[in-house]
Amino acid sequence: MIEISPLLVKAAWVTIDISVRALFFGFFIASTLVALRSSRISPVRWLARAYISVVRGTPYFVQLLLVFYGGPAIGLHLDPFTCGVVVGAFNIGAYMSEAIRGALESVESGQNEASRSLGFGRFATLQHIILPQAASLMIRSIGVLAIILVKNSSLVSIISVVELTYQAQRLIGSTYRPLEVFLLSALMYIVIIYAVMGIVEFLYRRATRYTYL
Amino acid sequence: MTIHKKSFHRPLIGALTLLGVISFASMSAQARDFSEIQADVFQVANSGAYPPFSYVDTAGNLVGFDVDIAEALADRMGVDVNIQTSPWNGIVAALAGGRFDACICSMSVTEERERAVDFTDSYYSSGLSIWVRQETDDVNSIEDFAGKRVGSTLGETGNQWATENSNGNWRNQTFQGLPDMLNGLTTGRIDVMIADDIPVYVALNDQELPIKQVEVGELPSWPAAIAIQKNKPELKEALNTALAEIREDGTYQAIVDKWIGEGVEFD
Repeated sequence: MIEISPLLVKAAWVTIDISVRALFFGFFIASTLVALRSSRISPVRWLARAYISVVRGTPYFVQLLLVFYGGPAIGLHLDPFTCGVVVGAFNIGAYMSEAIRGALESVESGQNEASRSLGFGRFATLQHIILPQAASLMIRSIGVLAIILVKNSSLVSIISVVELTYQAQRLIGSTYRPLEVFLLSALMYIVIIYAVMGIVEFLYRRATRYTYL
Repeated sequence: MTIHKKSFHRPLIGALTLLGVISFASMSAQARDFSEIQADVFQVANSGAYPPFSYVDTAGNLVGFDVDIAEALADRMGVDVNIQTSPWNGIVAALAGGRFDACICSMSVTEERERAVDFTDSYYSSGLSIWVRQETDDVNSIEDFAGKRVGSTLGETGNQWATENSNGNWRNQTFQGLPDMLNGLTTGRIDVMIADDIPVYVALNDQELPIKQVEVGELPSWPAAIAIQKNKPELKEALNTALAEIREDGTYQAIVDKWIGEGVEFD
């Protein structure tokens, strides 16, 4: 088992890499969706809502297959890794937008009114009054989504990205020892997820330094 | 109430239609014929999880019978080759969608697959075989499968055979690959295993397992061939010529000896 662990560690890096990138871009997609959903133009609002429904209404697995195998037909030639990042970002973005919106809406509306009456603009109110209060609420739900994202990344094996799960499956082909190989890869997932939880807790504590929620 | 229902379903139906259109369109994606491959790199795929035909060794290299065949053919055709892995259950879709030029992956020629892809001449043939645990003595014919748990690999010909022939007499259980399935048989998750014969023989050469083969009468066998996209006459021609050449000059036999070994009928 020792001789295959470097290969699994390398594959674990692919898992981390793909997840971090998807989370990063996903955050921007989520923020955009939140903005679109509060737009004054109703078709824009409707479009954002429809997008979120489609993403939440279809399995991540199907979305991956659709973009990877269906993409070339409409001129979208993505290599497996990029495809994994793009689909992951668009997928997690839809969920994250709901988490962000929920956090923003849970800040009492009086805060908004008070701020505006003090002469803060819409954006300044968001930046200085709403976001600092919403952040602490947001961080933990985004953390949960990040954990789901890491675990979902095992599905990109279907589009031939050699991440932790696919590498494990391939190595079973040469070792004939499913139990040990899968246990080893499970251990690596635990380490990754534990690290994610640590980062989330750290960010949460920083965000709540001055607030008592 | 009805109004709510409608407004909920409408975007859903729209989305599903879109999915349908895209998935059908993908089947007709552009592809390359031999002249375009010559100017570039011959992209070949296999599953990488089917020892001894294609698998990843403990150093991380993709090796095996199919890998060597692919390299020998590319050498004959005078093209550079890039061999990559693609999960077995999506490999035909990936080929049809133009993700690579050929599957040199021990694919059995079946009618169903011929509808989606073209095949070259066969480069060997394999048949189904039946395996049970050493102590099992009540499986001597297909009728004896009754009430048993029968394992096969998802998407392989054995799986197709098991599905078509069970008629509710036995329970089919599918696995992702042979190592997984061998484990399932020895640990008792299944009672009977249906698999292509050669990989099992080779696995048994490698390690001792408490299993045995049983003859249960006539089982189908299929020729294995290289799958390419539909309507690529130049590529088909080039591959067939190269196949004939490596058979003639002994390269093919050397590859057989290297990966399959003696005592296994192989042609």
